[in-house]
Amino acid sequence: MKRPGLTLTIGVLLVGLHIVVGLLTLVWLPYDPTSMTGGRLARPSWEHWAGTDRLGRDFFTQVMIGSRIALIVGIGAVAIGGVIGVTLGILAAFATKLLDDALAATLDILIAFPTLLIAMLVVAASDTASLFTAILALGIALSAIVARLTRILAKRVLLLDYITAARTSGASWLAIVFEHVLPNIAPTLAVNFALQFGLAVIAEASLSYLGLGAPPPNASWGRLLQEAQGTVYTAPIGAIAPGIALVSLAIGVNLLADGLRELTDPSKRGRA
Amino acid sequence: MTLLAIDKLNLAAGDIPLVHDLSLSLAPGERLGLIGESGSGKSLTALAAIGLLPPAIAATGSVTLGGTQVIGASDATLSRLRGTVTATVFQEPLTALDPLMKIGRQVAIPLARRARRDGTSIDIDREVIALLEAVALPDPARIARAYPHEISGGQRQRVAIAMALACRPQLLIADEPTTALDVTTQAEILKLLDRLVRERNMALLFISHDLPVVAKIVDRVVVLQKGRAVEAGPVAEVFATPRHAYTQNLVAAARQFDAALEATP
Repeated sequence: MKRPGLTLTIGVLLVGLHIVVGLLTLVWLPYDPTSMTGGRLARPSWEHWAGTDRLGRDFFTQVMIGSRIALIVGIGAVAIGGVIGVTLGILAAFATKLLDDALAATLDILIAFPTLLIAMLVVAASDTASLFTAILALGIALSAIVARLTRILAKRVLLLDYITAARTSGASWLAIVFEHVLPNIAPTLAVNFALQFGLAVIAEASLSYLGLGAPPPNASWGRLLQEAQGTVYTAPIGAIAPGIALVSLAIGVNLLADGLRELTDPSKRGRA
Repeated sequence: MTLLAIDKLNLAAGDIPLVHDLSLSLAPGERLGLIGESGSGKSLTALAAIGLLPPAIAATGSVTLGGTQVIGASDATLSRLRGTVTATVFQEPLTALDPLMKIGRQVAIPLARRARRDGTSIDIDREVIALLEAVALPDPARIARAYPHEISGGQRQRVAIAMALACRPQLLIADEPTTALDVTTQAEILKLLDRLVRERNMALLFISHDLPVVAKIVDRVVVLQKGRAVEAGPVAEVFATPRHAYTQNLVAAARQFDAALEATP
């Protein structure tokens, strides 16, 4: 048996590291991210921990800013996807059969498209590529997955006797949603949100890599990877540093989700 | 005045008839047993009485609850009616309570709702403890702080009854409330229901497949077979001189079971 505490601890540590770095960038950076004083493609040194890029900018500074952007993207995309998805899912679960079937079929079709493809379509449909369009696009793409999960979970809870008991004692639909359905599906949703967060971070890196994410002054990991592509043999650190950052956050979030799942298992919780 | 009047109720899922031409009525304070085997339409009739039929089942006929027509009524009308006129206790104590909510809060929610609708203000915490005491739970303060998985099946069923009482219903619908319990607990819950229904002057619609259980608690019975009422009358009369073949079978089966129990040392 795996120790549940260990999974969660490593997850929290990795994600926590990125949060600390992300917050730190708001108040302090090793170098001005636009200052080109470090010399072209300098090797890692005490002055420049991860060397410099083609324009002489400190690479470590940019990777740090990348943490902040990744967190903003993850939180933003999950918040948008979560609100849209949970609302749609709950509506579908409570709707008449016809409406529910229509919603379920639409969601299945949406899910059949890869998340990244939907996000690319949304970005392409908007005029300018910005961090916000990338977040919105990912949020919309994720909402279908969240909605489908919410619908199934809610439907399962709605079949239970305590819901019927609440209805026979005169509870309104809204009261049932907030008192019984949401609390009971929240643990599973929370785990799913953590996984979606990881997906969103990777998807944003892919979008940026393709030039559809945050535009150049923003040092997104995906854009750093893309810029390092040309110099990967001469200065491999340019690809390795944002790569490690991206992977560590993605793994951290997944471990966190796994740990959360074990923690919120109803049979193990609440011995107060 | 009748509390619940069911008149020529027909229930069907598509082309399959489930309940056929069922009529029964229940006056305030009266106790009626609805008996029959699994699939005879007992529980569906109860759900129809409170307007909670699954959407796939079509109902025709008339069901009036506290003077209001239930069939075809809007959800808002029904939810008001359900909270004030009826409350239900279900078969399975394991799923009758929300697993993530402390007992005290589960009882408090219907209490608060009823108080809000009546426009009265009450001391919810004290009322919760009073209700838990009323259903004879030991150490109510501790139980109020417990989660459903921390208490026994019989205790959970008592909590479910407390939640039903919180609505102060005129009609209590008990859908096989003792079926999932062991025999000793069953007897205790029956005694408790009997006392509460008497003390609080509620009408009782008791649904069961278990004749001896029904005989202990109700005045009149309706016997259902495949969705049809085959026999109805005072409980003593129906069980002493069953006229319909199906009832005779049910009674004979129960007697055989009793005889077998008594024969074993």
